[in-house]
Amino acid sequence: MLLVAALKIDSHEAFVKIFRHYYSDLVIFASRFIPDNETCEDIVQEAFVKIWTNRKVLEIRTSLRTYLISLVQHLALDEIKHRKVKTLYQDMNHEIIMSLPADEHVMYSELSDAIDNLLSQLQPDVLETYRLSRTHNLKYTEIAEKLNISVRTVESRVSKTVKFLQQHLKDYKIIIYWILTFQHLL
Amino acid sequence: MDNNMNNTIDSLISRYLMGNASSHEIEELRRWIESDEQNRKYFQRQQDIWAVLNPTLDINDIDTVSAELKVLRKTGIVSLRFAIFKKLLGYWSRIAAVAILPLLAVVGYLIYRPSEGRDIADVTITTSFGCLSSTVLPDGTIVWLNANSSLQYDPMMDDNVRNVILHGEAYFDVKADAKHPFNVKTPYMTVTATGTEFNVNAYDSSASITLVDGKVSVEVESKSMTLNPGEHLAVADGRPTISNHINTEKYCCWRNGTLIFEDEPLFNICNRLQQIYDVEFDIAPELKERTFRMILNGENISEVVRFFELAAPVTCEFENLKSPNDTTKFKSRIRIMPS
Repeated sequence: MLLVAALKIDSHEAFVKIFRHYYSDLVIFASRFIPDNETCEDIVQEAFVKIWTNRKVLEIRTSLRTYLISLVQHLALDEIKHRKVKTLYQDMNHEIIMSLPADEHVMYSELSDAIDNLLSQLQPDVLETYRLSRTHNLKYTEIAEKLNISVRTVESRVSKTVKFLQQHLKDYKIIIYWILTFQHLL
Repeated sequence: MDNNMNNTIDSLISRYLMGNASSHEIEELRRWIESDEQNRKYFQRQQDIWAVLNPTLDINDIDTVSAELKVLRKTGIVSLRFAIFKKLLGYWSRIAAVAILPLLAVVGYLIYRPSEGRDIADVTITTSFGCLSSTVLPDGTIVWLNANSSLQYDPMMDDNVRNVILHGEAYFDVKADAKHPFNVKTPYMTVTATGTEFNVNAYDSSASITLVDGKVSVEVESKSMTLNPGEHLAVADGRPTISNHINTEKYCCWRNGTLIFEDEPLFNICNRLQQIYDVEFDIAPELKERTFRMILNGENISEVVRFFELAAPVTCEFENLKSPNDTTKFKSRIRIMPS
């Protein structure tokens, strides 16, 4: 908690360090609940302004990471309630998603290396199908046409990849969850 | 939960997350989730991983640099002038220590405009050699100004058009406002945008624009052209050339204090260095086309020159030129010869 201690004695460097480390991850995190990117950025910026304004009375019991995540979660929930913005999960109560404890959420950059690693284990044609659907946002029919395979094959490749990733990341997530719980640092 | 059940639920969750589940299936999943605390946890964890796997926005689209500037302003940690100082000290103090001109802070001064009969004067921001600055214009547009450049604008910005005049190089993150076009005027071309990100290079010897995001129109000698993201327009002898699918980062990374050259002829590299450092190059004709590949991260000019010597059989000599007006000032000329 060195950074938090530094923050309390007005260290600008500590603040900037924290900001750079967490900003983009938190924006991506907020975008889970709110589909408007600009609002997400505003929320996270507001969270950081709050952290600085309250630095003297900041009381962090768990970790800075958890604290920031729950702060952003709160602000996002406020935004949804007060401004009645559309959430991403209309058909499922968003409280289900948001009631996961803050320290159990995973951040994008914490998993992205693991994801890349797992993807590299896939067969080239399966990987290409997945990439086209995820990164290039193509429809299944478009991919089928492009790769000259049937729509069913596209569907089965994508869902196979998703299952494969879910399965392996679940284990991975438990590991980083423990690391983060005990580390209590950056 | 037995294995079979596990599989059924897993594929139900997958279908739901991918948006392929029918309303019947969603209802089934909802009942499963609500029936048991453990089930809810399980679903939440899966969904959490899914969200990480499928971020709705690209991490590269997040401009942490601009956001940092905004937050530092809002917290009052930096005032406008301080933000500039901080940037200068961060990236360029090493250059400044050795550069011929000492590090000068950004000078904002006012130019009177008597002809228009207004009392409000334009603001000009200038940077000297080896310096870099960033600022937020009155309309919310963020500008990064490279070394040896100046930017002139109306502090009120209350006209229908937002006009700025640029000499040198700047990167603009234009605040979206379709009703008030944003114009960048340079000696060779005028760029018009409503809300985009682009880099304009307009030193005496060059004129080019690189579009990172959005759309702009460019006017060169009363001919108008539209650029798309990833396109680069360069003007040589009054004639514009557009190249597309370029690596925009190469043209814009100077704002992080980095210069990238990918198999670039020495002649072009030296032209670029002359824009940023207060030096002049004299290259032996047979070396002008020799290509180099290098990434500079705020090195001073002697270090840069040393890279040339390490990478190829060349020798570089420094010579101090006296300024004709001021005998206390020197400008270096660097002669590059085969060794």
